[in-house]
Amino acid sequence: MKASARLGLLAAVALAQIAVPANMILSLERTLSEGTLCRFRTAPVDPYDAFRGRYVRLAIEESSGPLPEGPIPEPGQTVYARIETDAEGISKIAEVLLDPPDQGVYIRATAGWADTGQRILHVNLPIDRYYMNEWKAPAAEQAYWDQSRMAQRNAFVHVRVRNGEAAVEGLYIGAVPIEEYVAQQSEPSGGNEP
Amino acid sequence: MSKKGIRWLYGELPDLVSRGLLTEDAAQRLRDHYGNPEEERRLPIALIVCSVLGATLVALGIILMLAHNWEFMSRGVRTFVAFAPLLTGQALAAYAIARKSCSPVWAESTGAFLALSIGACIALIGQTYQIPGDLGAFLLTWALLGLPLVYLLNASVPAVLYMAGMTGWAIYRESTNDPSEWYWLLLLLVVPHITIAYREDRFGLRSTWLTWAFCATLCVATGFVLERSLPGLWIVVYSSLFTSIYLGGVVWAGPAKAFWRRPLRTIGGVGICVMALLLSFEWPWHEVGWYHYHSGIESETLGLVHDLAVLALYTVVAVVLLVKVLGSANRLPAVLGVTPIVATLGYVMASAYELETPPMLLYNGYLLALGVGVTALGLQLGRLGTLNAGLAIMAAWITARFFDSDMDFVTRGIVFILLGAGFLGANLAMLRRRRTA
Repeated sequence: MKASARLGLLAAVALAQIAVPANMILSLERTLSEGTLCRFRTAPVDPYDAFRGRYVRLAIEESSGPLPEGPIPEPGQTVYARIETDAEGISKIAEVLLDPPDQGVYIRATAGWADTGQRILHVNLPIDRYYMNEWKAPAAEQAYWDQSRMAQRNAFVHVRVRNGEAAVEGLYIGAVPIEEYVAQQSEPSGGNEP
Repeated sequence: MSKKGIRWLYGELPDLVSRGLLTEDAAQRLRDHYGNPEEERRLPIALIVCSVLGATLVALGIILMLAHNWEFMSRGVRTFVAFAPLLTGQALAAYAIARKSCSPVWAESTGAFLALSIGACIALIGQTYQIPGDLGAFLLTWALLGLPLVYLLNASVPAVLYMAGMTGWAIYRESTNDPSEWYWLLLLLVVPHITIAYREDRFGLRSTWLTWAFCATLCVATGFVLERSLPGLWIVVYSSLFTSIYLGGVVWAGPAKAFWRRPLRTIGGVGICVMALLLSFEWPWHEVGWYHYHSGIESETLGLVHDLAVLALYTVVAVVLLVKVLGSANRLPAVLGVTPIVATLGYVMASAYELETPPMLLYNGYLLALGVGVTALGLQLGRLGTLNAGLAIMAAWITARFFDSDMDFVTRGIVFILLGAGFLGANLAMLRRRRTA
């Protein structure tokens, strides 16, 4: 193959290599700027990813909803979780649908296991990790558990939602971003309660 | 002209000169023109290894630096940092192609750097935007975006990285109970590159490393891709796989003597012996075969069809190669080549009749025959390594049986005494034969 043809092909491949991450960025940037804010109660745990660094795993507390009508979704099947926010400002799954709803806030997710007795379907929401600085992620988990012993469990993940796509905006202990909370805790004089 | 071609030409030159087709002067001018292929070979190998290691370490270092998660960077800065190594790698690859003679040093090192930069870019974007952690999708995207580099740069390091990525993908899919049969098709995408490398120089360094990587991914991924709906089928599948690899090495044997230059025979031989040692215990034969088939589920039936197709492929290759070896002058490697037959016999006993002890005994006999056969092969070829491998097989068998709690002490004692007497008797017979000769 001639060098010019190979260069042309390389240009096409390079465009694809750029387009894949760029597409991820554009879509998520739009969701972060235009999406509806949802606030889920969560419990952070600190694991490790060799490529992407340390993160706190987010275990969303309200991650199940009423089983949809018709055949029970297979685990891993795409479902749509319609989200409602209660009087306290906490977001919850109002209903699980097999097709995207025409209106309202919904997140594209996958089906987990179904409890046919209680007619409940567990849903795997695409909100499962919050990357943090490698030194601060373990401290964030520790801070959360220390705090949760003293008060109510009040860790929240703020998520922007648009057309079924969810983009994590921040992790909070009470109303304080977790990065600030960890910084306050590590100060010699001790931190403020959220 | 390829180095293989140059070596062939140099081999022909004396004959061409003696027949008067070429003058000695013309032959010398050809030698001056093409240079010494052996000398030329040593320098690029050192250069390639150093440059590939350098590029790989720099790219991995970048991945680790980015994984730290620098909080002071805004999303915009992070995006720039994510794309910087990728764009640099792409520019280097374009330069490598634009140079009239794209040297292997440039091709391999830029290929390695760019392939790893793709992963770094996707990883940092994932970190910046808190993208859910589907490792399988991450590995697949990374590997597929890096694959074209293999062909555009004619580089083997991205091919090895691709095979590693596919293996990781298959393992991840199995861990999440997702089907991973696509592995076969994805693996096929790299086969043309291996074929090209083999055509250029079958025994060259590039072919050797590609063979190591290809065999490694097959040996690891097969176990994860198998659906395992028919318990114990792995015994016959892996026996056929290792035999195919080993006999492939025997049939297409190269001149190299070092074990690392003979990946087919090394991986296949070690695999066959480890399998035989494993199957000389009773536990692998528990609850295998049709009586324990996970029937009734559609996905299990499809899984069985897939597993049987894999088995058929490996077995056909193994049988064809075994027939070739049996038809050749040196039939001794067939001792290792009959593994699938022994495995099938054992599997039928355990599967159809729910017998556990007979297949175990069969494999004990086979392992002993393997030890003796490999030792004999070593003596015949005058290779100390093969001789030692044969003795190691026997030592492993003796150790395994001595500590095997499945057999009672008396049985083990009798077997050991009988075998010891057998070896001493054989020794005595050989000595007598030598004296009378």
